[in-house]
Amino acid sequence: MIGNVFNIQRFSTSDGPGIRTVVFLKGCPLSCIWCHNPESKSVYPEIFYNSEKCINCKKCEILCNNNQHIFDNNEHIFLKDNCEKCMKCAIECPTNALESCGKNITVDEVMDEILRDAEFYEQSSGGITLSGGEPLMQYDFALNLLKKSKEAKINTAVETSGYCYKKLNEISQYVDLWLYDIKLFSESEHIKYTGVSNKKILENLFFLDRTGAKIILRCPIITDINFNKNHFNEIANLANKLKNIVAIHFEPYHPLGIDKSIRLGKTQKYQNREFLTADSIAPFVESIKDKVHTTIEIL
Amino acid sequence: MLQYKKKLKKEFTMLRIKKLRKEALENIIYYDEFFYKFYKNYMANTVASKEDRYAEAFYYAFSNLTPAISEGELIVGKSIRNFSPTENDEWLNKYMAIAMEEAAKTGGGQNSHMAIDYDLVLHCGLNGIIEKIDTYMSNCEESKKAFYRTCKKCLEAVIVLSERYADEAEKLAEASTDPYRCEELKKISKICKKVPANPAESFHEAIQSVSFITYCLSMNPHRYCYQQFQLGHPDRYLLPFYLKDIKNNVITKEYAQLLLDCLGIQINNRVPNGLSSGYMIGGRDEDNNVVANELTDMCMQVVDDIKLVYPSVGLCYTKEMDDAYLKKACEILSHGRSHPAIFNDDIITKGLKSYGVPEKEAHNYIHSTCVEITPVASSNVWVASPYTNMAQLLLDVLDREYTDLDELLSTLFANLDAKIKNNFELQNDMRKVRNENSINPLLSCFVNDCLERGKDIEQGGAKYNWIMPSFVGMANLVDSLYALKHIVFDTKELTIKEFKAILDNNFEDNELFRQHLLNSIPKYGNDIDEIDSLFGKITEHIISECKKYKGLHTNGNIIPSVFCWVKHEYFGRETGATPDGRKAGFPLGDGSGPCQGREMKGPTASILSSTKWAHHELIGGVAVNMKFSKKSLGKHSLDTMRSLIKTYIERGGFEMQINVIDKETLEKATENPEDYKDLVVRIGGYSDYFVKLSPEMQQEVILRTEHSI
Repeated sequence: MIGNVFNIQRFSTSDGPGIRTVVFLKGCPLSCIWCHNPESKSVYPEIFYNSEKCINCKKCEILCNNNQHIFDNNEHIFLKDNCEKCMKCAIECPTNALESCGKNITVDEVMDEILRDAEFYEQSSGGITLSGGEPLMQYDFALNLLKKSKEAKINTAVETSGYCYKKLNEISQYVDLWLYDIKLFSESEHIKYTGVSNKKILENLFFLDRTGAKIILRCPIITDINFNKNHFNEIANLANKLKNIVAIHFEPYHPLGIDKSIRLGKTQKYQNREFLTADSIAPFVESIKDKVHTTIEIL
Repeated sequence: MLQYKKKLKKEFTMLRIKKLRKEALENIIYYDEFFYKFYKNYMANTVASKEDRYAEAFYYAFSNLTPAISEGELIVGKSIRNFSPTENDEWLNKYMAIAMEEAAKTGGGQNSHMAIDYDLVLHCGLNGIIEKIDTYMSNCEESKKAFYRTCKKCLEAVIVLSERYADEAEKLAEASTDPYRCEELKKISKICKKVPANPAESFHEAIQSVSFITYCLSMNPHRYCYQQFQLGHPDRYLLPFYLKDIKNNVITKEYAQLLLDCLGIQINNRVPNGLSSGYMIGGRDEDNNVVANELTDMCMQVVDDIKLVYPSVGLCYTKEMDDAYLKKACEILSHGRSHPAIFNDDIITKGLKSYGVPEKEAHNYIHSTCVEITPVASSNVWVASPYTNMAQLLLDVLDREYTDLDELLSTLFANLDAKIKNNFELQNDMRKVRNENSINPLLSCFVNDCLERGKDIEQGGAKYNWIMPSFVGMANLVDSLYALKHIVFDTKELTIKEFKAILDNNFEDNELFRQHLLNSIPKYGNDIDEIDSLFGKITEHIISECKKYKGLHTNGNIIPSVFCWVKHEYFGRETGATPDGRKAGFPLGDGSGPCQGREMKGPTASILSSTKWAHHELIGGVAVNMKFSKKSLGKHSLDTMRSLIKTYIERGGFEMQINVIDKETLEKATENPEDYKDLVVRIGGYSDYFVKLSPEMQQEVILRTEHSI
């Protein structure tokens, strides 16, 4: 079985407990304007271009069948409008100024990589995490990875937006922990800033809670969008409705996705270049601490 | 009131440490006074035998050394800062020149890098040892009498010096206007009168005894260079004194910590920067019981209290040790301290036994300065003798074509073998010269089996006389071999001659190719079996080749190591461009880990790479450095650090040194991104390589580093 993966990141410590390997699946049905993994949106392979690394060797110009690489006065412009994603330029680029993002890979190949760190998972109570993009968008691939991981006695976690129209009862059997994104509560706002409604997202959340699945609410706090007292209160209310919630994680906004977008030839819609500090959101977290019955962490 | 008193006491303690710390940081260490006075007497004495001349000069020097006691010191014994003889400078220069000449005559080769028998000092005292010597002397052959006589005289010299310190302390006490300090100085005087001449009874006496004798050993007229003695395992030999004093309310835990801090600071007044001196804690005792007690904890705490370059603390870790000790080590490391380093007790013990060290002795070893392992109280081991540049070794065989990598390796090994043989012969020749011309009677008193055999340590009186050559640049070698395999033998892009020509030109006009080498060809440290096994192939060869040789004296095994001290920079400067993409003059990889900036898959992959080959026979030392960004440290980071260490140990890793990097390193990364390619910035759910960020983002991250933790 083949899936499209854009990264297998070993030694991840912020995507679930312990030392984990995170498998980033390509493709996401949402279009959050603050997305820090813009390379995960499209299900197809893409190319990163970091102009600062280009040494004008012009190998890419020679290799490209569609003249997508132009050199004008020693400035390398990557057109991309007619790129057939053959990846030849990325493979041959000597400095990795051009880098491919996303490749087709089998379940077994992913498992081979995952199993290498098994001793670390055991020592640290870690495991694997599926993330992306939206891992549930490649439902069968994700299901297979999780099944095989459980067979190998590895702890599993899934980071998800929750936006999935497939039934989650089968897959949830193989998931030890859900890292569930909660972005906005008002449906209109949710559509405005992420491109989709949150109805299905909340439906799935309560479904998983009923199955007894362990859940951590992952709450990105974005400065001009949901950074207000009301939002924190709504999170607290939601948390209290869940029987199997394990923690709430707050993720203050960081602008590092902006650079990534540039390297993809895209523009992040949300252009705020200021980090939102843990200190700024701390008072809001404090205000709900006594209201919730679970641990809170600011990542 | 008690709380207030406690607070006042704590502040007073911190002030004292602050003052002593400052002095240690500014201190420039000279042993000039000793050399001057020793050789002044030595050269004037034209009648006595060689040994007696030495003994008398030693006694004279010690009897006339200026005691140096600084304000606030509790543990005393160090050289004065500015020595100026009563004669004019011309005489000083004259005797210093003589000192160097005489020292040179006694032969080259290694020195110190060991720990003596502190139990002997603490439980017998020097007078007790003198008694033993008298017994030996009454029963021995005539030829050995000179040795014993010299030993006795040197011990007496130490006692005289300690009494000079006692007198000085008394004098300072009388002149002191601070009643509290006056009491302290009187106590110090009393202690110096008692130890190390007599057995120690209190914790304070024990520490003073250990520190003082180690200071005295630093003054070796035959070795005109700084001596690097290690303080063994203080959580073993100091424990009975500590427990007794605590039980009898003679001392508080806080005061005991202060004394240990003073001991730590004093090391910095004995050994200058750029070298290494410290101690080890933990491990197992001779009955195979785990050593883990209050002192283990407190000796680690010294590192965090005094924040100086020494002591170099090694934690001997075993699985059975309570987690609290490793937790504490990680906590201290997370503060940015570079110690403790973690040593694998099981692997080291296994290795020592494989070289013939009996079970009981195999548990009592020391890191000698950094990672070179020698048995405590019985070693005359020459560590890091010499260093071999493995990258250069490869460059030297690129003078012709080969049919495949195996053939190239064959030639490389043949050259390596010749080098090992040649180096061994050079070291052994130096052993022979030292055997003829050098003595170290004071040291011989504390190293088994010198007194028993009636043989000076330089004449082979010690039990273990290993020589440990060190092989530097292993990661560059492995990466380079792999690159050659790919470019020359697999894809046949270039011949060796063509490749070498590019290297000789330092990649000029071939930056493209160099980038290809750096970025497209896999490197050691990324959990790639093919490359990792190459590393093991080479170390196995080195180990077995070294076994062919035996040096002078008993147990003259040749035992290799793959650590480098600062030689990776030193050799790097004189090594041309290498096939792994490294430019001429750049440092080689440090220690036995992957090269700088090449761990692209994170610490788990790096640890896996480093532990696919057997470490235990490299008793000469294996050093693996892991660096973490301070910015990345969060709530669970210490747990993660512990998990990494434990897995490394479980997989047979020999030693690990962890560095938590601060802002300065990130700044350097902005200037030299190539050397920091693997530095990762992580923020919940997101990660990117620091060097990939735009300049402004990098600045932001650096700023954030300032505020975190």
